[in-house]
Amino acid sequence: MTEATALGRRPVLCYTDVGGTFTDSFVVDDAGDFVVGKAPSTPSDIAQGFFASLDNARTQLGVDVETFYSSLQVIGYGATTVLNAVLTRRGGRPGMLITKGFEDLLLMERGKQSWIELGRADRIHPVTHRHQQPLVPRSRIRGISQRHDSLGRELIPLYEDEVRAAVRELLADGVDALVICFLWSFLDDAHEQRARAIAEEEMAAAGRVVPVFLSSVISPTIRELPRANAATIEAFAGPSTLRALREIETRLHEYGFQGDLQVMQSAGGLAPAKHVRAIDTAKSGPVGGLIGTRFIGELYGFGNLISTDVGGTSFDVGLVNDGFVGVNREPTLGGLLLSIPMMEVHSIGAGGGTIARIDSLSGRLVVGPESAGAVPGPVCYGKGGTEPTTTDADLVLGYLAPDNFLGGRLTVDVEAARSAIRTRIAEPLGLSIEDAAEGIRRIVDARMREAVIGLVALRGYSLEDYVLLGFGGAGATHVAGYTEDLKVKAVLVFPYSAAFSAFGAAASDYEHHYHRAINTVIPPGADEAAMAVRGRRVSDAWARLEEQAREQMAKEGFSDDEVTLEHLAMVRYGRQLNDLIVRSPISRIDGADGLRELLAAFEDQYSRVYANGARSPRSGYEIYEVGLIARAPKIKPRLDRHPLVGEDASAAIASVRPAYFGGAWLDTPRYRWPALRPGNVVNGPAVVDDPTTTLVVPPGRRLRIDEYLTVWLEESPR
Amino acid sequence: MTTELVPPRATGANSLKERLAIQDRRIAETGVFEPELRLKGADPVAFEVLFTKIHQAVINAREVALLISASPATREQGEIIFGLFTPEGDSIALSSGLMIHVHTMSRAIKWMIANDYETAVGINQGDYFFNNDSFIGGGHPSDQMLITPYYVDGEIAGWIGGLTHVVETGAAEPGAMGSSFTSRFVEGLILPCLKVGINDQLTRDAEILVERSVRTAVPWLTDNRAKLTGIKLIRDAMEQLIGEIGADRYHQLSREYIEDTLRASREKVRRFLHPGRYRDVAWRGVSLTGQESLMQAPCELVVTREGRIILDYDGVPSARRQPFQGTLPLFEGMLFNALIQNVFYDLRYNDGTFLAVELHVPEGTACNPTDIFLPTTLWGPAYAGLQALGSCVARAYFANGYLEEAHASGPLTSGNLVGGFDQYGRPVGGQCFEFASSGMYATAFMDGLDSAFSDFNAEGDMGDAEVWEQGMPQVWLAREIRKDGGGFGRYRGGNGIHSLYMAPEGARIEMGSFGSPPIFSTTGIMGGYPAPPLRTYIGRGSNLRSLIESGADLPNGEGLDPAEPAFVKAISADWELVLGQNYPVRELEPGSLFSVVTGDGGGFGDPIEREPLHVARDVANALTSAETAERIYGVRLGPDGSVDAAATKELRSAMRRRRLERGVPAREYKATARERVLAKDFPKPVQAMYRDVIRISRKFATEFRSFWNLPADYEV
Repeated sequence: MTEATALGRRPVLCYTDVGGTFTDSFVVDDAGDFVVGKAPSTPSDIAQGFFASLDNARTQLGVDVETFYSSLQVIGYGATTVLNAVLTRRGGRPGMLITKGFEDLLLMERGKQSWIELGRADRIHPVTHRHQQPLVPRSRIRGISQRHDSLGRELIPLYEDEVRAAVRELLADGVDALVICFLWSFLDDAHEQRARAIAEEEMAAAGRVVPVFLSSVISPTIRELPRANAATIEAFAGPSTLRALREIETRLHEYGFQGDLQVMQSAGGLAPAKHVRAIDTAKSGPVGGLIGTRFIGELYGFGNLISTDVGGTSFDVGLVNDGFVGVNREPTLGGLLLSIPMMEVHSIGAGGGTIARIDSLSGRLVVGPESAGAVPGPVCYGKGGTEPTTTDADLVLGYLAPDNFLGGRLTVDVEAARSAIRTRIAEPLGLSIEDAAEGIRRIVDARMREAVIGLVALRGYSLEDYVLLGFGGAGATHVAGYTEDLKVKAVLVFPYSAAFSAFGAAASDYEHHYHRAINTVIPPGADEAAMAVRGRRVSDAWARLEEQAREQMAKEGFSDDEVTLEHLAMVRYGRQLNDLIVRSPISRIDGADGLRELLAAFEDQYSRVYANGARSPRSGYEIYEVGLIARAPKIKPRLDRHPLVGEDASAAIASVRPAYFGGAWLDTPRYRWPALRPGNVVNGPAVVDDPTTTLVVPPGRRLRIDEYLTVWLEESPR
Repeated sequence: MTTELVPPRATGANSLKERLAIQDRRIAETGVFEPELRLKGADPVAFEVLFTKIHQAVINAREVALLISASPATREQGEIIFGLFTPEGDSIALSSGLMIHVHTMSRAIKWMIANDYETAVGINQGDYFFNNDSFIGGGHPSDQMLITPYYVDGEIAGWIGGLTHVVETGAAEPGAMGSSFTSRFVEGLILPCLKVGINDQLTRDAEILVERSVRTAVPWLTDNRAKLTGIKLIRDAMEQLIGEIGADRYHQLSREYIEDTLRASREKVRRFLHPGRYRDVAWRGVSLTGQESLMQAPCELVVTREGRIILDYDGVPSARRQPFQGTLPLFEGMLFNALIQNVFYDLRYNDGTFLAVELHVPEGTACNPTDIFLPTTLWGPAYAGLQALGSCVARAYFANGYLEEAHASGPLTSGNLVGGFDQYGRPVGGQCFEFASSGMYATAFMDGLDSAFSDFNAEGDMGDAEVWEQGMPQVWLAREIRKDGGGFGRYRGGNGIHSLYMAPEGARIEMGSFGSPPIFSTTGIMGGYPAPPLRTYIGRGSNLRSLIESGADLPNGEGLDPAEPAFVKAISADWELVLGQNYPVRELEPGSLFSVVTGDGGGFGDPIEREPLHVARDVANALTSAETAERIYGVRLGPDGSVDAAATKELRSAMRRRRLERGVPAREYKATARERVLAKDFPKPVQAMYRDVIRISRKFATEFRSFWNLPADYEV
């Protein structure tokens, strides 16, 4: 795949990412080439920026509107609409029915929500903690007498009169949606279902119908606060989000697009806009990079990969283990705890805009986590920034070209960057400007490297098992730094690094994720019969999820043959509080042996992730949740193989300029990235410029371009 | 850049014991840990990069261990911390988590060194030592640490430790924190720095010991495996680091990180706290039958112009055969936790912070008992000492104009203990840690947060009720914000939590509670009110089942009148009210009810200066009663809940007039009070406390007699 240059090609695949500042459309044509359309985001009317971005891509392809839309087979969409609604508290006016005695749940926030979004220092500095404004105020919450216990047994029947009275009151108060969240409803949803039926009767009687959201439907898992949050967010932000999607889809059809608008889900995979739930689309931003990483892994035959995305403010790292993208089952959204599975990305405050400063108490050089952001941005941008950033350091060191910054789209002030580093960092430390700038780089790179090590320690196997992929606007500039001495199998850089996330999203399949709570305790020494009973419980739950999945996929036009299913079980040792997502080697459990097979898979995975000494088989096992992923294939961007033309890359050299490496200015060749050919090898020191990013190759490292134009960053032979 | 390094072995010492003695002597003589920051000066960038590696290693260990652990307190409340230590036992880097233990693991390592473990027990690579003896290190038997030495080229490179709070120790009462304990011998299984692992494996015999000694062994054992896994991660990282930079450089760096923190700590104090002498006192009570008394924790904080902090707790009563006391390692931990939350939060945390403070606590007192057979379960005045220190620090900030850091006292620690059998028929012992989300203190600029904070762990988290119920047989009927809980003030203290539990049908459940006797312990500041004392309600033989069957109303909250809670009025039962929250664990028949509250925060400033709109908002959210709005805050609300501005102004004027009418000059008040002191007209618990303290503390006795102008031979 290369950047499309010829005009008149027909687009087949498009993915549009609505970001905070820009809306990017990644459009792949029938030759497998692509263009990136760009337009400012328009939060008040997302459709405006969406269509402007698509139109920009269409213009680059040189086709008319009708050809463009009628040729597209897939249009994917990712946005932060739900997150924005939560952050700004601009949404609907839901009311809530909750188990009596728990009416303060949203005000209490479990305590944890008052600090969960804070940095390390503020977390232990309590005067910085704050409660958030609840999405449903206490005045619109009604307690209902009812109760189940942890085995799903009814302790107190549903007080139906209380439901009726509460619904009447809330309707009179002008609510536009109802949330119902009862304790343990994910084990037995009878009370929530009955309460909904009563609410519908009352609404019919009142002549006003509002949507009802059940926690047992939105998020059927343990933990009442995350479950209530999920249902509340769906009620608060869902109707407006889904309405906006429908409007976009209608316009797409008017322009000639014949398919369904597909929306990126936080757990990965596209799903039709008319079938998604808003809560499942809340965090689609980081998903593209992870899916793209998995896609590259499939291309090369790597099962274990580390995805690293260096942006302006954050360094995002995620894992693919055995071809399976890591999932966070307890994520947060705008500071609210959730139990909706989302692809797992760990972020630290480290990127191009990260600020360097001298700590006034200790005299230490500290880099991050604060960021200068887009405004004022780095000092060199000349937009009012006064504190030196990583980008300023990269510029001072001669890595970023002042006369060709972002392909010449931005004029930067090197002297301003040097001056800021001199006065704020170099002079207080007694260093030269260059050593100070190199110090900033080393520290931010070290923080990124340790974040990678940390995530692998947390969720992965051993570093040697992984291939690392670097991307993002500043990814190529820093990937050599944060992979120095990192004992991974290989380091790859995608040729269109800055657009990799959009590429990855375009490479997604159609997917739906299902999960269901079960209550399966397998005591130590359980006999054959006990094992068989529990195994069947797991199997029955899978069967119910399969039924749900096939029905859904059929609705979306897929036959059973097109759908692949992956069976998951969330397994833990007895009385542990955290479980592992186990990809089951079998899809049905008929007896004790089947369950043993599943538990063996758990033991194997547990030993690989946490080391053998952490195993506790004598404690027995517990399975409180099972899952299922249903996938159907979608056309994907095509990566073409090119013949290798030899190692000599001299034709791509644009200039030789000094750059600072390891305490000295070295004459450093600058290469034009688009001019590098398959098979080329470039030894460091070298800098490779692309209109959207810059790849730095320090002494001792080299890059090699393979037949897919992927960059392999390697140690130079000694 | 190179700098000449002196390896630790070059000190002339042959053993760790000698090295520790030399180090202690040098610190005592010079006040510094490491004379020069040579590596930092030579290469400040490398200094930072290497610390990033070290720090990330301990953070990684904690994150991994959280995923493996089985204790709700560990997984849900984050009651876990890892640390990396020098060969002499000084902490270099700590993960986040239980900052109380910033020094308690150091204590245990130094104790092993001082007690000849090198020769008498043997310290080898792959050995693991377990300690939950709070006289050695840790807070109480629930605080369980696992420590290992690590070696490079045959020489000890340092120690690594992990600590978790486990909620069952096999004590006389389930849940490990019983309020009836009168000796160490009922606190459960206590292992004093016992070797429980060799060759990187926990020994089976040690596990069997636990399995046969506690009600629920899984959390204890699984948490140990979690700690072992985390420790190995740190060790691998350090071995790799030492391989890269060499052992001598590593040792020098370790020492410089501690010294660097020590210097930064002093600088922080010098810049932010106004020099001077600050005093405050907080109290706890002893509710044990026959031992009812008050226990004071008078704190004297001296801030010098050079940024030194000197803390003196002379005046704490004697230690006794009751559970409301804490050991010196625990007390140190509490105080440093307070200082980290309030002053040192933005520094590196290690023993440099500890060395920045000079602490005096008389031996034999309830904050520094010396009889190792005394129980130290519930800390009592040690916790009060933390509250008093918080108030002193608040004033030191306030005096420098840093209003944003000035606050009232934090909440009491209180909760319920659970035993019996869980819903799967497994024996259970534990405690619900929702007191980690108590009411926060008010500050000079905002109300304390409701149900979100604890002094012992700033990252307050009550956990989800469903997760607690999954592991323990208790069933919540209510879990709500306590109304009118926080101390009243211009900014009110945060309200704690009220929980009402039901003993379900078919379950065999035991419950008890722990907390404080019925006295005000959480003080207000600058005119703010204290938070109310705690209480427990136990309702046996309730008509709950028949109420449910008849479909009758089930008011399960506390309502707006804590003096007569709504659930007591509505549910017929043999209600027992325990003032204070210390109720020994007893079996509850199915259908019985058990109500506990967590602590609330102290108020800041005069309540009648509170913004009336804030009062109205609290009334609308059912956090303040209308009666309190009028009686305490002087705010009159209209029928629609809005503020009646004119009536409020008049009401507040009237309140001010009444205050003036009631007030007497301080001299007059003191003279009257002196007559009572001379007549020894004290409540019995107060009399018992003063009698004891005057006997054991010359300083307190002198000041007491001087303040009240008493005869030199005055005794209580």
